[in-house]
Amino acid sequence: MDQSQLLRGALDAAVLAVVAENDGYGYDVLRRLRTAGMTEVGDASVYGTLRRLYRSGALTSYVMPSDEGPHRRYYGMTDRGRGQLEEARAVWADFSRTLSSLLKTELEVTA
Amino acid sequence: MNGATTAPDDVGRYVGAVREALADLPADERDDLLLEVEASIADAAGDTDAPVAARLGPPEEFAAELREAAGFHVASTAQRAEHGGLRSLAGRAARHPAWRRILSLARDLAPFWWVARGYAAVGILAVWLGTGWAERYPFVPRFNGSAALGVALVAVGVAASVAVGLFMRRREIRSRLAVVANLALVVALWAVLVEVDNATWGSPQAVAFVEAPSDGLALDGVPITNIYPYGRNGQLLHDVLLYDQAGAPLDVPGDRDLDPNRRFVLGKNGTTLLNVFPIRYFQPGTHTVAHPDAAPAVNVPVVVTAPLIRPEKETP
Repeated sequence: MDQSQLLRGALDAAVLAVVAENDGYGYDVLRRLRTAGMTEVGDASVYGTLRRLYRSGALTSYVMPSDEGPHRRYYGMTDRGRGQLEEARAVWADFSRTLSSLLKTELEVTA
Repeated sequence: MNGATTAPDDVGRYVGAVREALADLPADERDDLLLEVEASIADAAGDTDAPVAARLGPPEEFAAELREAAGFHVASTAQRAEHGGLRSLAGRAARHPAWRRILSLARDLAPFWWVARGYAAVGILAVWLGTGWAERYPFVPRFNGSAALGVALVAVGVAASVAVGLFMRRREIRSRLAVVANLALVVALWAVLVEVDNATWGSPQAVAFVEAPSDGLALDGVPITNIYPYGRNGQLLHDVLLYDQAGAPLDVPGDRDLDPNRRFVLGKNGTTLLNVFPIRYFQPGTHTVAHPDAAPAVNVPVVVTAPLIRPEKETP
């Protein structure tokens, strides 16, 4: 598997995983990523990634009226998005296994 | 929403600066994206009291990050060279509203093409097999000598083509093979139309039709082979000599050898008069006309206008 693609697509996978859990709008997805531990991720990166995934057909979108402020654009999964998430999971499992075995000694020492 | 009095202005200014930094993007795409980003920034602003720029950084950097993550190419010369100037140009042309309108129109008109390509597919088969075209309707291919079979095959071809078109549209299938096949059928349609054109003008019927008016009498292109003159009392007249406005005899040409039973009327010097009507035919092998008053079923109207009166010579 192409691991450089994985690194570039790490945010894609994270965003897909969050949306797969529950449909969400921009700031909502950002907040859930931060809560999950991705504290360093940039706001614009998340909004841009949502947009790109939507344009590539991995996400679908619909507009919901909001009580406060403007309407919100919610994103949900498509079959293509689910497929992409599955693929990311497989690549990640492979990558993490490889890296874990490479770093095994150090990990044992640290642990 | 806390800070509602100050935050919207702050957010609006920030988003305005981001919009400026994205000025090179297609307007509809940019506006749609920023509408959503503005809503999210406003939401985020509601959670803290810090100014938007302090939390998100300079709007130019935010715009660059947004652009990068959204997969929009930076409109700098270096980037354009990297991605291929032609491709980015083609991409921008493809996003142009006029091009989209053309595409949408083409999509609406596609069913006509489905019909045409179905005909082309069957037609090119006829061209290839050399089975020819129906005589009366030269655009109908003949198979096995049968125009009816041709019509049936064209119907099947058109139905199949429309079915394929509808199927691919519903499933939103786009394939390179389909593009190639459609281009091939455009060429096929052209070849079929050229063949049909040849069949139309090359057929003997067409030649006879074109030449007919120049040889003898004709009415609306249909040759006149006989004329039945009636007098005002409704009586069929015989051996009437007819001339046109220029004094030319209205001849129905004939030939004694080709038409041995025609009763040719002769003039004083033995000349054959071909403008004598009605033309009569002898009983084969004789010089008798069996029914001299035979005529097509005509309801001769009763004439009520007074007979033509010659003006009397004025006396001086």
